[in-house]
Amino acid sequence: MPEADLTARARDYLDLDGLLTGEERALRDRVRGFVDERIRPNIARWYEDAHFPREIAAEMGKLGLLGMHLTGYGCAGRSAVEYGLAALELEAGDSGLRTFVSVQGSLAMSAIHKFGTEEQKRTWLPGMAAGELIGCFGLTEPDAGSDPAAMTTTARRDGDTWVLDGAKHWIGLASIADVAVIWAGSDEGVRGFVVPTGTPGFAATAIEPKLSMRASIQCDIGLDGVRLPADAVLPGAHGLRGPFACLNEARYGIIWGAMGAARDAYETALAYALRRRQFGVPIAAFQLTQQKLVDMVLEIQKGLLVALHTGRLKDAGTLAPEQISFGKLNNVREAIAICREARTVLGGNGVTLEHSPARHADNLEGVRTYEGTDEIHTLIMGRALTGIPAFTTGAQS
Amino acid sequence: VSPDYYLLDELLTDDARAVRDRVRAFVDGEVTPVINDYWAEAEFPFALVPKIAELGIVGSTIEGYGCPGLSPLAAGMATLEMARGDGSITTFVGVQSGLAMGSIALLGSEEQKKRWLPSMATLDAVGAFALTEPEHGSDSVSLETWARHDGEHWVLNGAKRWIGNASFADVVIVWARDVDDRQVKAFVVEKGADGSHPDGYSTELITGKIGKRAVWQPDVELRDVRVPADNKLAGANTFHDATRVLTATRGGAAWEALGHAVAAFEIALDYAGRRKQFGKPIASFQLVQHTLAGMLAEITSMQLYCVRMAQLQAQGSWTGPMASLAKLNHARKARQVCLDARDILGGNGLLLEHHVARHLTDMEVVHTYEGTDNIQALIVGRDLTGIAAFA
Repeated sequence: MPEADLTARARDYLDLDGLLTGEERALRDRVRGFVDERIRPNIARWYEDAHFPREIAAEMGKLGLLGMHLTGYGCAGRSAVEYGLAALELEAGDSGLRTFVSVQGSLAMSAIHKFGTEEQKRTWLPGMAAGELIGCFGLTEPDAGSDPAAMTTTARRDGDTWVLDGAKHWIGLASIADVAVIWAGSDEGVRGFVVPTGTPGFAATAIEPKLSMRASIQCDIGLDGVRLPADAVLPGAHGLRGPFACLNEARYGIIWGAMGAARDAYETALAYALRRRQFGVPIAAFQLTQQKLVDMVLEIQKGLLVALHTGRLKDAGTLAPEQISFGKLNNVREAIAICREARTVLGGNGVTLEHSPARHADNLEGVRTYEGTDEIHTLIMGRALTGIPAFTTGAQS
Repeated sequence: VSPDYYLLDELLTDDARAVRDRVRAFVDGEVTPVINDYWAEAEFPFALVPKIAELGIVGSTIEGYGCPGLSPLAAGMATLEMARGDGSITTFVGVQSGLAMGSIALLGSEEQKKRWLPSMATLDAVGAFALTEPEHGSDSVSLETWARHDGEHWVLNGAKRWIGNASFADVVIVWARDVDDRQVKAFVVEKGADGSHPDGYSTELITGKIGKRAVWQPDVELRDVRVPADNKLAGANTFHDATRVLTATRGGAAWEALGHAVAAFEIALDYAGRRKQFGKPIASFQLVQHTLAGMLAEITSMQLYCVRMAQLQAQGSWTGPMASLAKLNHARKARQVCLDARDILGGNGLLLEHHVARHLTDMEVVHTYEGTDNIQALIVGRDLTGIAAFA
């Protein structure tokens, strides 16, 4: 946590706050206050212990952070920009906790909200919005990461029931989830299913030990003859378009979140540089340190502009998936570089959990990979630029 | 000051040291004082050619036939020192020694070597190497210049591009595809007794270059050019034979890149010590020292790379992918060093007078020729993975 008082210029160099409405700023400040009070004082311990604080879900629910950009069913119905600002502030606390909000709201809840029946929505969404129920989203598999079309989990009809078999990998929150949205291949193509995690044959185990996102949980899921009623299927989702629509929601939040981690690392580095003295002067007085700080601010301000612009497009309903790729690719890449550079400003002290930059940098390694790697977003953008999909070309012998 | 931070002079052999000193004296005395005008005017410095001939470096590592038989290390030092002076002359010599004479030495019959190499070693005959075409740069494997066997002659038709020295060369190695077996072969197009190129051979200078302006790399057109059957290089029978020549010259491009980086570093270091701002030399600023140290780190690693490359070449274990890795690394790093050096010189760095902008823009050419960064990466990538990803 930045201990020194930073100037307004140092905190918001281009006065980007002026681009926000009063309501947006108020929401941002509420989330920031929550992060200061509930996450910052505890995160080092949670991270070290690889502990996800289950009780925080209800607190986030009270703040309206879960499914916050969805409407009805107990959701807050906020704008995309407001959701982005919340992601920014949460990730300034910790990527793992922002990830919980993403998985819950953008993936699990949005899948049910977009594609579910009225009955499914009423059954699950209010409890999830309140943080009483936790959801997860099973798309990735051990052998189908960037290429989800290669999934081997199957869903077959058996009389009035569906039976799921297969395995999912890297599924956030699955071991403590009450409900899982599972994507599986069937005679009808890829379909989504709402699976109560107590269903026989469903088993989730946490992947440990991780060097990233330690305050969040990612799991393997085994699906062994998981028998579901006919109404477990999400009627509105056919093919990979379904899960991709959810991924776009989560990717959008990352555009903001990554800049939150970067901002916190930068502010930590600046505060430290102002107070740490070497050679008789604060290290902030050295040219090399100033250069690092300036480079961080350049990229953070640009990244925030990208996030805000993307959010405005999303609220206007014109945001294209390949535009989301722009922000995800750029902002995560720059955020990692900023956090690593911030760590160097802190010298040896930067490698402890007492300071945030190294933790943010390690968290962002996970963020860089999930929701589409650099390579995948590059190829999505490349396809948009050239009209030529290059996902598989250049790989034949 | 020469940036010999890791005392690599101790690793040089006497012959390499002697070559270095000879070329360095030539560059400092004859090239640097005059080259900017040639560069600005895009004129080739013909006056320097006889002096280059006296340096004992033309023909490079070739043994016999009037060639100097330099060790790979000595040949590398010659390239480094030449590039430290000027990129255009380095290309002129590289085309002569590495590409044209290299093709003959590697792929010519005994009789062909005796016929061409001695006069080329003295620069009485200038060579050129015509592989690249307007539509086939990186994929020269698909070249479309055709060779048709016609009795005692071969008839060449096609177009070549970026062919160094080709407008005045006496001996032009032309790579063309045999219409009969569709294999790529090499043919020596010579000037006739009257000093003119054969009928159907024409060149047009490529103008408006931003780098290597003092060497001419024209377009070449071949329209029913007849060459005697004896002029087909005996050992040049597939495209793979062309790549053997390129594998050898790519190492030279790495040395060349290093030479540009050394020059740029020396210029920047000297300038930073003399230029005063805020009442003191800019060399006393942390940001400048940081840049200089970073440049030296890259240069030193390039030097070590090059010395090892020379060892591998001498012991015969040098491979194409190794050459690609060196070329890729050095082109990237040297280009960045030149950029950093230019930056240290501020506005003055934009002026030809300070030489650094010439090294920087010449480096752009090095970054592309002898295989682009992308192509080198794909050659290394294929070697690493076993999967060709060119297309």
